[in-house]
Amino acid sequence: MKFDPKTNPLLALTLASGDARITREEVIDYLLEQGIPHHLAYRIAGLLHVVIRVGDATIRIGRVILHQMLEFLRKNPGMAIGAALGAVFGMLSFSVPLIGSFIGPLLTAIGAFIGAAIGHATDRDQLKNSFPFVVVDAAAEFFSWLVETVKAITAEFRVTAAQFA
Amino acid sequence: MNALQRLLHPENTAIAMNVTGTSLCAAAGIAAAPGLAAATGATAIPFITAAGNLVGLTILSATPIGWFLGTAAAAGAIGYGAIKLAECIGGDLRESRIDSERRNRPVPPSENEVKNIVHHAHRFLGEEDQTRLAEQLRTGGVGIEEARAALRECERHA
Repeated sequence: MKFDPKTNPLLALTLASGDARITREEVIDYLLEQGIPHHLAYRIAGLLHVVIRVGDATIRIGRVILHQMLEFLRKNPGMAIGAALGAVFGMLSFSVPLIGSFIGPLLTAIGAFIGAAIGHATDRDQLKNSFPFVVVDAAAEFFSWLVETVKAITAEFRVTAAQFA
Repeated sequence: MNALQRLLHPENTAIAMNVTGTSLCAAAGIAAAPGLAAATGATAIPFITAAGNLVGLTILSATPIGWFLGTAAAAGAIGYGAIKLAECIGGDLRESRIDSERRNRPVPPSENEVKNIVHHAHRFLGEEDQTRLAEQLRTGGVGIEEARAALRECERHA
């Protein structure tokens, strides 16, 4: 997703959240279809409630992240899903300010699954296109606009992260 | 929210009123029993006397033929009441859900509101993104208040 450089990063993220019309059920269904364990699928879907507050404005950042994550997984069907998820959340937690605290706990849960997924893929010789470094690079490139946009907002505005019920 | 507030919530009040309506429907079905029984010429149903008393049947006389007909008529009437009850409950829940959806559905913004916001936002948006914003405002992807708040912040930091 590319944005016009003339567009203010706050409005760019508002527009991105408007594009991200996904539901909790959609996220859970997709992850379960991919073989993700139930508890992990539900925890990941919980990110839908993560928002950042920029003064009076509220940006539904969790919705944007999940929308992008599903796009990334759909566009890279050859990747082992565990490795792909690990790369996405690992990269985001290190690169996107503020929301690391929401993503960090997920990584612990995903960690065990990544190990199992990579082990399974290695056993079946399916790791050719999903070597971890390749996956991380692909995720970093795919999410670069999001990382840059959030970084720009946090540099320019006073931002806090929150989770609404 | 405490129990009283929950009870006084419009949706719950609507359900309570509908339940009253349901009771009336059931009563209407049951009230048909004596009429139907009388119409068939049977008004004495010994083995459902207790039930007859419960539903307000008047026991006037006892004739063997009438018992069978009366039983059938009363059962039919009670069945009618049960069907009305089921219909009412189903209808109540359906209407209550539709009402709730109607209440929660955001009101679509007027074209003037959309134009006004896009006009104010043009300083902060590229040309394509102006069109996107207008479209998202119309379709509900971005709420009016959400866009206004974001614009206020942009102007504050401009």
